[in-house]
Amino acid sequence: MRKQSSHMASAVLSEIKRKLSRLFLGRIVVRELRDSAREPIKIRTYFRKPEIKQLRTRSRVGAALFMEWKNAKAKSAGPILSDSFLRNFKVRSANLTVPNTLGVKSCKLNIKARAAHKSALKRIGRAAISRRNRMNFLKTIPKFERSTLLALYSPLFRDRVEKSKLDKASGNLFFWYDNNHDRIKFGDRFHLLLLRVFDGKEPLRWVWLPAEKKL
Amino acid sequence: MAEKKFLLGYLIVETKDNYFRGAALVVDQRGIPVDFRYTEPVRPTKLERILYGGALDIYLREEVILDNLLGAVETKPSIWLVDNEDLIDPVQKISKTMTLAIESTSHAPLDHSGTCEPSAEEGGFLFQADNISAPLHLIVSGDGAAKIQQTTDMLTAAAADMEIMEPFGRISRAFEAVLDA
Repeated sequence: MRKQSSHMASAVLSEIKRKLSRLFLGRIVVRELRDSAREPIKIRTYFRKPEIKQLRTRSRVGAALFMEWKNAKAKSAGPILSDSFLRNFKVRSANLTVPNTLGVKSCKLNIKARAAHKSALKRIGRAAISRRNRMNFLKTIPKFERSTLLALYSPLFRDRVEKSKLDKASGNLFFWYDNNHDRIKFGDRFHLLLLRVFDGKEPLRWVWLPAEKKL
Repeated sequence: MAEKKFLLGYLIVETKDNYFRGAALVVDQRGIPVDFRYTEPVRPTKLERILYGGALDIYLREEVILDNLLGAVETKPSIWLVDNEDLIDPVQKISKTMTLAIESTSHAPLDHSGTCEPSAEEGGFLFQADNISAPLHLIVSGDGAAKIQQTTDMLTAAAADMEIMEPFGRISRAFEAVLDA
């Protein structure tokens, strides 16, 4: 029984297969895939080509109208020289001599000689010696009767002072010692004080004070 | 006891209107001149300025003026006093004598005369020469600091008889008198 049923099933399947193949084979359209049917593929790149443009226009030499050598014989491509010019052209020789000795000039650097020293002991001996007003450095201002201290000049060798002069502008005292060293001894040192006197005939008074005495 | 005698030397080199000049004054401890030399004002030429270049100032100051003056001074001082610290080394080298730069200050007076204390500047000292003045500023170089006590003792003795800075002013006035002559 089983063999008969399997034979019948296979017969039915093959019949179905035959009929389906007949149906589809006739109706399926097969077409070829060809490139010609498509649009051509365009390849685009971003490569850029530089465009060269000239800044200057190309110059062209036209005719040299300023030079019209009519009937000029052109013998060569170089400068044009006429026969008569060439005949009369004389070449002279030139002696180029270099002197055997070149003159060399010297320049004296005598700066040391120009700074020669001079002695002037007598001149400086006649120069005044100066003293500044030292009143501001006194720790205590000394008091004087009916007078006030204006200036203090120190030290001076009173016995040796020949002359003196007060410079009112600077307040400095200028004085000269006697240069005769043998005759006059220096003696003791002194302070020289300038006082303003109240109720006196003379408004100013000079006072010598031994330097050993404390102010 | 006899007072020890000594001499003080004062040296200046100055530049004025492109002229270089110098002077050396030697005084005794009372300020009395015993030797005075000066150089004629020297003005370098344009060619000399070019040839010597940047070394011209030093050459004129040291090789020409100082060498000239220090060689000419006959009475040698115990110390040289200069008003410019640039002169200390060349003067000391040429003269083989203790040299120091000295300048006035407006400092308050120190305790008493003879006081010497180091200042902020290297090789510098504040020195009270006497009791009625502002201290002076001294600058030494080399082994000058080791001899500072001996030097200030000399200056203290001198300050009893003279104003230590006064001879510098006298040299300047002498220069003017020479130029006028």
